[in-house]
Amino acid sequence: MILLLAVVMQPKDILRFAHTLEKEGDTYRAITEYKRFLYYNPDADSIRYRIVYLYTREGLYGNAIDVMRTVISKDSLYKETMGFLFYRAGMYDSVYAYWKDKKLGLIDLQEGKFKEGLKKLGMKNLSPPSMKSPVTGALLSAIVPGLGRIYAGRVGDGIYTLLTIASTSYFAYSFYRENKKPGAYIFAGLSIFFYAGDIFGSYIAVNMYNNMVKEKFIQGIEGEVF
Amino acid sequence: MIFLLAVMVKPVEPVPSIHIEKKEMKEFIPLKEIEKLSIRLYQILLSGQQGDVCNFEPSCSHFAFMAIDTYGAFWGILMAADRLERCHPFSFSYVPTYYRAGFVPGRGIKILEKPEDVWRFR
Repeated sequence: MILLLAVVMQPKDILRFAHTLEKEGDTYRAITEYKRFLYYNPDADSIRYRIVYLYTREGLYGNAIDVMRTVISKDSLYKETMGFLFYRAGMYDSVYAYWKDKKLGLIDLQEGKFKEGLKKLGMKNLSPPSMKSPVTGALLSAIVPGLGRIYAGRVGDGIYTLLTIASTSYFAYSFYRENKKPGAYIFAGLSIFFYAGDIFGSYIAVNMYNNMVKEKFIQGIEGEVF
Repeated sequence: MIFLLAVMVKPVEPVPSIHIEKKEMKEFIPLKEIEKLSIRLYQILLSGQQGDVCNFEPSCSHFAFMAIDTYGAFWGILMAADRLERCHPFSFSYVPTYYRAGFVPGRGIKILEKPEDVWRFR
């Protein structure tokens, strides 16, 4: 019966069915139906753009690029869309083949070249986001355990780390004073373990903070550019 | 009917043959294996005693095991230490499942509430 329906269904019915599936939120089945419609109407570029939109909404940029490559009329919209998809997919080298205007500044921003990017985008008035130094974070943690994490904006982590390292060190010292060497060695080992982990973790935490700041900044600019 | 189907169905492209590479034998590093073994022992002997109380997913011991296996003994242990320092009562701001712990006299620090209770009372 289903086979019979599949044979009998006209292309316009397939399209209507695809629209219904899309409205219902059944994205992947809608894409399948749109592709089936394309099989009967290979010239329908608007349907290809519809599929690309659905793939983009799902974050499947690779699939969207594959569909875009089959678009027949390679006009300005095609170039804009391809550039956008490569940009979103993080393949910045490929974007240069499609974008030629000021939007290329976004790639500089993604690569951390804020001044050049803002200059290309014509937003000289904007000041680049203030970044923190991961090395400073690690050094702060080396001086006072947990301070690097507080510097990265994670106050809870910093306080907890300080308490952990202070308590393990105190136990190691008290065991050593009581001449209980095995206990002293165990707690000293734990203290070193947490201390080293804190320096490493502070470096990573500052990097994560920087990434977060950068993403927020670029998202704000993307809202104005796109 | 079969004729119709044969006309309409697109010819299937031949599936490319899959070349399976032989897995290289991993280098045996004693320190790495000792660390992994101690984590495994902890998981078998101790972890089960406290039940499913991890704030993070995967749990710290699984994370440490994977980190040591992937990045080696030195970087793996640093990542494990960092992860342990991030699992604490103040982590509810960025951890989706948060277990509230408290001090019970005579029993030490114990898990008091399950996440669903915590979310319900907030």
